[in-house]
Amino acid sequence: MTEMREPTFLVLAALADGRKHGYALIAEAETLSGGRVKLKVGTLYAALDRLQAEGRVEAAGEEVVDGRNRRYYALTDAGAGALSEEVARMQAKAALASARLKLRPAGGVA
Amino acid sequence: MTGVRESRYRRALLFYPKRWRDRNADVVLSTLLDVADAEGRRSPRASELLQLAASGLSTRLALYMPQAVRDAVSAIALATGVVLAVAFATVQSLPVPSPLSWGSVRGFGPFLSPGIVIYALWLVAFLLAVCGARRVLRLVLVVALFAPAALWITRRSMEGLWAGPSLQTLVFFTVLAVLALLGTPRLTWCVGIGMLVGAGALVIAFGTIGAPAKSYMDEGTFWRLIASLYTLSAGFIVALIVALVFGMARRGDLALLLGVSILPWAAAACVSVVQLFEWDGVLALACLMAAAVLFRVGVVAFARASGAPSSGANLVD
Repeated sequence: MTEMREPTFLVLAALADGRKHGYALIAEAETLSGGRVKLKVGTLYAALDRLQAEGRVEAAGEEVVDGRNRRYYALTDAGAGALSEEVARMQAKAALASARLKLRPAGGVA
Repeated sequence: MTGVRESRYRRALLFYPKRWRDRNADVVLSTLLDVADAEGRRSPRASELLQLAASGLSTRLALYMPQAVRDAVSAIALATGVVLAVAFATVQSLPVPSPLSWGSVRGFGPFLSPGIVIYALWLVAFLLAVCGARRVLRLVLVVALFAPAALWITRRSMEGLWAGPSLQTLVFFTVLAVLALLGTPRLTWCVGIGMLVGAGALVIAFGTIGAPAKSYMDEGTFWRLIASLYTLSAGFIVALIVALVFGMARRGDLALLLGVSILPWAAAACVSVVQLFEWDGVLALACLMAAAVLFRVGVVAFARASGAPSSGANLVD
């Protein structure tokens, strides 16, 4: 399995707790990354186009708020599965690194 | 002010295809305005407009060339570049008559020509692709894209000083870099085997030509004797037949992959034609290009008719 790119991971993770529109996704991705990643609008919609083509994300309604069109996106079952796999892979990596750290001699390498 | 801001965003969205704009422009525009409002901006950032332009062009390209095909084209371009870079760098490093004895020609440090700069960039690109360092890889490929032009300009201003690289090599590696940048090169087993076979074939070819003559060979030898105009012409005919077979087998994606992957070779052949026949060559080239455009249109039509996959499938696995 190929490693998921960070913007893809953040978009899927941002949708995990329910449908969101474009700006909410950008804000949520920033929060999830601890303020490190601010998705560009072009990058976001390119990722959404690709994820929709792959069946991982689907459009979930539109509404007009203050004269602005908002389209909501939601995670599909396939998207939730892909996100779970990626989370498991990251947890396995983190567990490995943690185990190695425990083997580190006290006081570091002489 | 908001109207001006909106119209500037709308102009940037013109880089996207019309079909995409009809479906998404209003939604994307709303998000752009939401982001600008949240940041308290009254006008778009230049980086934002540039990114929309790049993303729009990429979306346009995706209409003609699905992501899976672009990734495969990129992998093949990278593999081809690395194999030729290794071969050319090796040939340059072989013991040869001293370039210093050729009158006005001089070496480039311990090497025969500054072509080694291009070859080194491709080798670095290969290592980065193996390590999965995608961002740095793209950066190196961008440098590899402009390096041939920089060398050509430098070489022209220092006429007669360096024994190469030939114009064919420069044009070839430029087009190769464009193709490598089209997608994300994934070096699969299939590509690895192709690289080994290609490198082996090149070593045998160089050995067959060079050993009996016991003479100096440069990368120009490759274009004169191995990938000569005649060899390339035969290759193009075979590629055309194979592409037609793929098309008839409703594998438009493979036909498209083949049609795009031969472009660097076609570009090198064009240089040879112009060098060989001068103005007659330019005329012949115009005819060839017209034929190539017709071929390209045919391939795209095949690709669309046979429903090339839009994503997911890895064509080089």
